[in-house]
Amino acid sequence: MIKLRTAYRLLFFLLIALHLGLILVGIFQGDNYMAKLLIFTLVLLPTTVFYLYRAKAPNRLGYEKVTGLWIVIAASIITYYLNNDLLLGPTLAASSVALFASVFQFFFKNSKRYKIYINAVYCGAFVGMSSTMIVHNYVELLIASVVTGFIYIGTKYHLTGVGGKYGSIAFGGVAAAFFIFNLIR
Amino acid sequence: MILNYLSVFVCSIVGALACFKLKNYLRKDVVLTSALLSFLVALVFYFMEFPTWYEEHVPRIFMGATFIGMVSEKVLSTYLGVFTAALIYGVMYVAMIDVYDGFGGFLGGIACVSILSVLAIRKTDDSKV
Repeated sequence: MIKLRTAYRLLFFLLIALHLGLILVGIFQGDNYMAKLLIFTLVLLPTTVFYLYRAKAPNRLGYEKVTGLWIVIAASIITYYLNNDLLLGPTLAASSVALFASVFQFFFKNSKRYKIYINAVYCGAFVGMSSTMIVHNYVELLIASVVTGFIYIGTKYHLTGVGGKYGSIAFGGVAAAFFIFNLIR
Repeated sequence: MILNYLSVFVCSIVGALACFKLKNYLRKDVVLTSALLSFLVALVFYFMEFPTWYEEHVPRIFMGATFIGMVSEKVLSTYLGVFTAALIYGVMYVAMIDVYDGFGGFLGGIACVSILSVLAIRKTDDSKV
């Protein structure tokens, strides 16, 4: 049985691996050599330096409540439906779901719980932005959003305040589902 | 082609700075700021006629750029830092979109990495990440 502390550390390393993996695949798969050089010097080196010297492991370990998982799944399904079935496109679908959810902040001004859950909605919306070329059906979407939900729950105090954190988490879930279903096929 | 590349960088910079400015001005939830801006741009490109490349890419680039603008002031407080992150984001988008087209969370991933790159090359060490 893995201890909770070990699980949170593993999630932190997973976050690092996600970022570095994203950049490395971009460098090796891309055709444009100038772009490869630019990504390597502008992005890969500084990001690695950041993780080696600057990133501090959080001094407290915390997790979102499991409700976050359900919200991530619900938001991803709604966004995927708007994106691929109603053909609204990824941006309009995700932003309308997030906008609809964030309008409620005017009714729940003092609710801390609401502030936590609005991030879960945005995180789930990113998963639903996937195209049918990558996430072929709702089963794959469900696997992607469950993986995303678990990473979301465990990374409460990691990279707080950095824009794109929830997008990275969603990318991890989608990439994991894509990898799993590619192995099965 | 050059115009397309130029539009990537213009959208990145405008999206990031607009979200950063509006977030500081409204003092509301960052999700609302980012979603509102992305929704307006997506709506314009959904209902109006533009060349296919612009219809497909501009709303996405803009939405990803707003994630850079969502950065907390405790982490990155200067416009120059946000501007640099937006430029790096533009480079990454151009270089990687063929590899990751259709992956949900790709935009957020490159936005996050571009902010981390800027944090790594900054001289001061006051970030609370």
